[in-house]
Amino acid sequence: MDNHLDKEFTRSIEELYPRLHHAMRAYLAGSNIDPEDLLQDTFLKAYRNLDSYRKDSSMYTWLYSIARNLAIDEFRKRKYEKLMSSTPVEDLEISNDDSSDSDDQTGQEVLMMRKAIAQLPELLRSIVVMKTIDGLSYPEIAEVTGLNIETVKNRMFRARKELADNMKQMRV
Amino acid sequence: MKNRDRTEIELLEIRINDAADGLLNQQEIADLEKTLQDHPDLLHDYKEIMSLPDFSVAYGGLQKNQHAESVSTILEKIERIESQKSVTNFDKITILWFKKYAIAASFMILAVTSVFNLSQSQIADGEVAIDELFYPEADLGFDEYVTYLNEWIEQ
Repeated sequence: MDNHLDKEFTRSIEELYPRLHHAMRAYLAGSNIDPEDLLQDTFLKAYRNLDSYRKDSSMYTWLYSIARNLAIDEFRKRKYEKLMSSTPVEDLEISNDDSSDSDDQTGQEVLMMRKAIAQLPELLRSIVVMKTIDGLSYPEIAEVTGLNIETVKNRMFRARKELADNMKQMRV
Repeated sequence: MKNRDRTEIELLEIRINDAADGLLNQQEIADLEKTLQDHPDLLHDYKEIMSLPDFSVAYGGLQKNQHAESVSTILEKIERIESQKSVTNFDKITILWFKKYAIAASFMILAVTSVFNLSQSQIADGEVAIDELFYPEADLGFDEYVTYLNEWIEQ
């Protein structure tokens, strides 16, 4: 294993963990998968497979794709997709840490947004989280998902369309 | 024709998405809205998408200082993997070394055991010689007994 890369990885954990945790919290909302557990597995798997890390991509998107793949495996195990439509609102409730950041939004609106995201199919949900919650660029999202940029933009359009439908249904 | 329409619709969808991302200027938005007049379904989608709330606030901001414990757990686990790896590496190196020098090692073992055996037999001979020095063989009268026997046969 490259000793320099090994040290670089260990150093970057402290910086990358909070950001990835923030994204995974949104991505896994309502799934009963603990982001902490998933991220422990992600970082350890990444460390064991540092040889497969391509230096032309960013460490963060590489970690993101490992986390996403682990989550998809877990969804399959738990047959999660079938349960998503019945995600209880309680699972998406707002913690004290979030409230200060959402002063402009009512708690109800934030809950609706979270539920609207949670109801999206996996690919659309991951793209919405990467773009709107995590602030990744389209080329970075394309890197994580393995799709081309035009396809990612098109999926983002569909995701927004579904979000609008989900929000409308909840408002009725 | 159908493919051309589809491509045009997909391009318009991407353009709507660009508008939602705030990438279009006022003139470009006006052009897009004008084009969408020919596509009522897409115009409906466009209006709904543009009226979506800001989803970036749904999970608040980054909480950077709440993960020290999780980070240190990961670092501890990595250290454990490293120490296990060094033990495994020692095993691997030993096996590799043994394979590489197996013939030399077997000759070495053969030579060492031969030398050991030789030295053992010398020690045994030496012990007999010393025994004879200190405890000379007792005269048990075997020779005389044979003589007596011969004499008896001759008689």
